[in-house]
Amino acid sequence: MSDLLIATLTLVAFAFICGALLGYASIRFRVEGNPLAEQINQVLPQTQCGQCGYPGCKPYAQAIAEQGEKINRCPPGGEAGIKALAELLETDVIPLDESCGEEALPTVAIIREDECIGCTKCIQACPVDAIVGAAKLMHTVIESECTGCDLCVPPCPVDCIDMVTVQQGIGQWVWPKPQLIAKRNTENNIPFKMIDEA
Amino acid sequence: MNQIDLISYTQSSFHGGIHPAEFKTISNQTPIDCLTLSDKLYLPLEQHIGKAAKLIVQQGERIKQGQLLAEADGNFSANLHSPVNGVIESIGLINTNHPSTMMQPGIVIKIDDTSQGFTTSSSDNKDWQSLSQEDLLRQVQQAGIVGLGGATFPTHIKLAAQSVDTLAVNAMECEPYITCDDRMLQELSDQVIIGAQIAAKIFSAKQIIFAIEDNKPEALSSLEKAIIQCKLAVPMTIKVAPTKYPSGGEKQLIELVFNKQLPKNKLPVDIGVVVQNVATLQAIYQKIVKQQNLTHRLVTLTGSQMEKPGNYWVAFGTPIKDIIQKLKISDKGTTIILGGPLMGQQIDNLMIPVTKSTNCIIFEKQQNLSKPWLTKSIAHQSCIRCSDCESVCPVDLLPQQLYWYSRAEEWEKLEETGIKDCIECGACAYVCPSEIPLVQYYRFAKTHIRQNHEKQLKSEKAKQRFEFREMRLERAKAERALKHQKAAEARRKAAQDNNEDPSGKQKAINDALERVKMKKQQNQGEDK
Repeated sequence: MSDLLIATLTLVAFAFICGALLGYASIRFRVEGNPLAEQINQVLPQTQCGQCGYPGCKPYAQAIAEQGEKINRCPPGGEAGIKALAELLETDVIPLDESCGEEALPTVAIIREDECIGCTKCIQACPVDAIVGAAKLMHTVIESECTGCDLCVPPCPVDCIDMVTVQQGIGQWVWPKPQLIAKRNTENNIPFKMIDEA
Repeated sequence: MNQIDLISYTQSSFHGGIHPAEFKTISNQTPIDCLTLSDKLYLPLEQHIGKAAKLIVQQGERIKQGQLLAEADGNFSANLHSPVNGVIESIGLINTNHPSTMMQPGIVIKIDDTSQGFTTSSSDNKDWQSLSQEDLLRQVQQAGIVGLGGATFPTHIKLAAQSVDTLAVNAMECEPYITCDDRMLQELSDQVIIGAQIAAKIFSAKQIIFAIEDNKPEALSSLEKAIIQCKLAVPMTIKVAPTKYPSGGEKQLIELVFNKQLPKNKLPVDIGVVVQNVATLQAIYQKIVKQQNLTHRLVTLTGSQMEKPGNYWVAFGTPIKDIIQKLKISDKGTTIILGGPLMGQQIDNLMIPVTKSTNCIIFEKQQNLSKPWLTKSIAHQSCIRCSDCESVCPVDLLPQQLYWYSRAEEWEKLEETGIKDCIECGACAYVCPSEIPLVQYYRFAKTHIRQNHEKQLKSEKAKQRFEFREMRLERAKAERALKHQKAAEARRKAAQDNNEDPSGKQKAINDALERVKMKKQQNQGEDK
């Protein structure tokens, strides 16, 4: 009987020590924020366009991580983005949610400057501070900073903002992928080549 | 100096490599000639690695030979000079050798007089030895000299390297058909040597090593003679390597000459070596001694479709159409390859001009090209995992693995497998029994990986800006809240004062009493 008691007490004591250690570690080495949300945020394209229904990429990342939001609500990320998210979260790849929008070529906003009345509404709407200007003065878009999120278009009272597809310059050109010869279904599909004897 | 010291044979080799048929005798039997000009030149502004040059001339302007047309945009760029006297006919988009076939910005020059020549034999021996290192370097930079082996890396950046003790001269010329370095050494080795001495002086090198393959005996003996006759300061030796492609690759050359491998992600400068091509050194000579900017280069024009194959001085901007016309090349069934048969590309557009990177143009009958997939992306058979490619890769990569990952577009795996180290030499595709255009796959993957990196950078920047904006809005909100709080407190205080003395009567009385008191005191003072 006492053997049993000693064994039980030893195990209980051991369990307490382990518990105390773990408890201490969880306070001492506490990770600020949600690391998963941070990782998801890294994958998202950071256009901050809100097409997913959340006010920016980070809130959407948090929603995926904490509330189990679907991963197919990001049109700028497109198919490649969904694939990357599925890989990260070890889930299945699902098609893009059409209600959020369609995958489109990257765009930038251009303000037709002579029509701008200087109302500053677009400046307040821009999620990445890519529009410069002041009240009653002309505004303009810093193209290199613009993510093409469309958010400046609806607030504009005179409709002077255009979304223009980014011109694919020579710097963005990529080599085409070579093609495999399609498999033929004929019986005689062994490739051969005539070689000159001479 | 005796001969045994001067010439030595390499003791080491690099992994893999191939021995393709050479076809060098087609073009290296005839002396260097000068291609006469036709009526127009098409000069792209971007003929080098780095930023495109900035235009400084205007349409309709009259220009002289050697005049600066576009200046380097920053240090990592190169000047561009006019090869001829003429008039700027137009400025705009022109055809270039870019593989996308997209047009690039450039200048079209109408030539005044097509008999303007190009000479390398004038004897204006300027005393360059009295010039300082800075002066020499500045002049090289000013001449717009870039690596003429084909990589077109701005030479002044390489020459500005610190703590370099060896200049290795790349005279390997390992790719079939190409003979411009061979021919240059046969005829102009004295100039190449002076160019090498100038380069060595610029970074105070202690020795110069010429690296050459053993399939160029004439060039070797000419170089040897020139070295023996040369009385210049920096000691020169020759290292002869067995003929094997691609011994002219920078890292392969270093392994052959110094018997050690250059580590991954390291440059030759890190082990105290600068590698320069023969033609680049001749261009340095041309600038320092003859005061001529880089406007022409030696180009191997070769192939069975040519009546007079050989090496020609060609002005930059000369379109291929003019070469065909001048040298009476038949265009029936001719395949044109820009560059060598392994690393070059087949082109269809005859308006593509010769640029600083053009070392060779091959005009060959279509049926003579036994391996067309090397220079053109064509449909291919399946990979059979024979691993022949692995045994020839000079960089010790796994070409087959890179191929499968490229097909599957697995960018991360490709980076792990070391696609960045691939030098695109084409040895793997050369031995591939399935005729897979492997290099095309690697280029496809490399450009995609670069794109992805750029996208990543852009999204990172957007993220930072978004977070900063959040922070700013947050801060503004806090500041506003603080201001409101202060205002509310002030109001509360005022209200409190008001409660104690609602109409301010007491305060007025107190003030009046104070004033009377003051007056009294003053009056007393006056009475006394």
